[in-house]
Amino acid sequence: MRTWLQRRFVQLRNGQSARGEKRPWGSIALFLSPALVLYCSFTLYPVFMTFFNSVHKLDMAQNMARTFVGLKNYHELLTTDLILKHALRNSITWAFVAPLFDVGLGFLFALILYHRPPFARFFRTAWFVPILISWVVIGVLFRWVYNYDWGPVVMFFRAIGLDFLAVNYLGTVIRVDPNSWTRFLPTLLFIPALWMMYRWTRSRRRSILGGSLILSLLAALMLRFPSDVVNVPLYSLIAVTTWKFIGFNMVIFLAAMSSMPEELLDAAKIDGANTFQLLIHIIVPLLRMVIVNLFILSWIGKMVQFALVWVTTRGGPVHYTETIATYVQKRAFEWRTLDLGYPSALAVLWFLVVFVGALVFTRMFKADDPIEY
Amino acid sequence: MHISRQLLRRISRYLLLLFLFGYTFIELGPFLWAILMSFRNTNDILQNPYGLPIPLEFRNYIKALTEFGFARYFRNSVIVTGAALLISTPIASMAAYSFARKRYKFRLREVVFQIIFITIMFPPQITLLSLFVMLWRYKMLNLIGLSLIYASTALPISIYILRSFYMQIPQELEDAARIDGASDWQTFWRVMFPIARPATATVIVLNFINFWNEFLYAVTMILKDEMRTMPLGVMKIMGDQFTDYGGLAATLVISVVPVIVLYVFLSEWFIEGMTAGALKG
Repeated sequence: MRTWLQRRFVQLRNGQSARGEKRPWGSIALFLSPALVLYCSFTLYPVFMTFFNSVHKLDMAQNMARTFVGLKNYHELLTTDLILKHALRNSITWAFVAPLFDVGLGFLFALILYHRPPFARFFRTAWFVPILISWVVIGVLFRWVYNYDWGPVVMFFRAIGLDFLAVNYLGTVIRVDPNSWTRFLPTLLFIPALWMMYRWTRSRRRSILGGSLILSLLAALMLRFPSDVVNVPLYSLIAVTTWKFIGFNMVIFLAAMSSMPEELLDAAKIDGANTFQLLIHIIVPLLRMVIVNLFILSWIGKMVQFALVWVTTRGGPVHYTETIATYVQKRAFEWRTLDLGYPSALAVLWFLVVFVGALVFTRMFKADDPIEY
Repeated sequence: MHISRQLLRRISRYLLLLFLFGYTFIELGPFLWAILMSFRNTNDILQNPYGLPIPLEFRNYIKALTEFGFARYFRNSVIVTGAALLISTPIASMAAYSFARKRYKFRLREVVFQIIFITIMFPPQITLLSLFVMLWRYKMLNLIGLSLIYASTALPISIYILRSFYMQIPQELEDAARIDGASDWQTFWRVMFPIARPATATVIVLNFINFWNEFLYAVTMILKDEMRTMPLGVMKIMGDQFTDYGGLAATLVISVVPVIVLYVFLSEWFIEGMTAGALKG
């Protein structure tokens, strides 16, 4: 604990009131108040209002009249809502599967470009383009790309004679034979996979590679979770998000790689490490924080996926590509319920999941003994 | 032996290049395809979707801008993006400056900054419905309301990027300005803000892309056709002109042209702007 005198000394050293000046409150208010006003009225206040609305019925037909309903919305949400189950499954699957591909492939391409093949600059610039384009444009484009009659993907598979792969990518859900034993495989393997994840979080080293391998296993199992169907539309949309984000992640990895300390890499090479060992023992640990940050960034992005689904499938067929964001939108403005309380409760629930999830991930993947360089 | 190894190496090099170009084709192919289609009429497209635009057709573009009313959507997008940038950039700069410099330190400053910054992790749904109710109450479900929302969503990341830049400006500069008799505001506006121009440009690029492409808030807040921004316009035209592939392709091309043209000339700025938030932290 510091005494008053010590604090005063620190203040003086920092030059805060060295000439006997008061803290410039007027200027602080001048600089800060516009941002605070905007932030409080357009972010903080709405957040509180959403919490407030979630325990009310908010009737759009009756001039937004509020009636208190207590926890009824939450109760209904957690017990009777069947569409929520679809939406939850899809959003969570998306959020765990897509980042692995986004970050993994981004890393791979960054490694290739790090070794400076010819045209490296051109590739870097070209692959970055999709991130600049709006989801709506990409949605329309991929409706054509996945078009069943003349889309390039289907045409390609027909041309090389793999007709069973030429399906309607945004509309077909393939039923699995209900008697097939493979149906139960995901559920059975899920528990050991979760156990592995738990062991990994308890282990001291928490190698990023092991963590991502276990996450991949979990993600692969999740993909098969509505175990009675193969959810082709969801996979197709996941592929689109990955297509969009690879270039972005690649650029960030490339920037991080170019600032890796050369001495460390050279030292490892002199010690006789081959390319693979170099990758596992030097490059991946060095880029740990970048990997974790990109993973979380991608994870959050997928948890709130909206525009792509809205433009391409609107959550269909049935609810096989419904996400939480599209469900909120439908419940609020499309259905005839005209009630904003229920979707608010949904938003609150999702807010807690995303927020807590992001914090947990940050803690989980943070190294106990980060490499300093 | 020696020669064959060299040959193998060369072959693998070419294979790698082939793979990289193939991947580039996957990334850019859909856009090129849309550009090709936008210069052909729809009957031709239906006969062969992959043909070249041999008799070059500009009718689609004229149709998109007049018949589909896309010119108006374009104008709306320019208004909203411009207004939001004009609001958010100075506000974020001022806040970032006062968060960064020692002189303006007060007790809970870091806490306030952290609270603002943590908002980037919030899913937009948590504010979306309340914002709708709020704007509806005050009759602001229009382009002004939308620009204000955009400006506020841009604050956390803008303040974060700008703050880390303002923190790096040496104290001597600020002191020199003050000794010359500059007030706090003059120090900021005449000295610090011009120095921070690179970071400001980064933030403007990032926000420009986000505002220009934003969809969720726009689709919720904009209810009238004449106020649609470009993503909403594309969506509407997709619904109305479902089978007019040529016209639809032309609208897509028009909507991405501003971004792509800027990107071609300022690609490094764009790459830096878009990745600025993700690289640190």
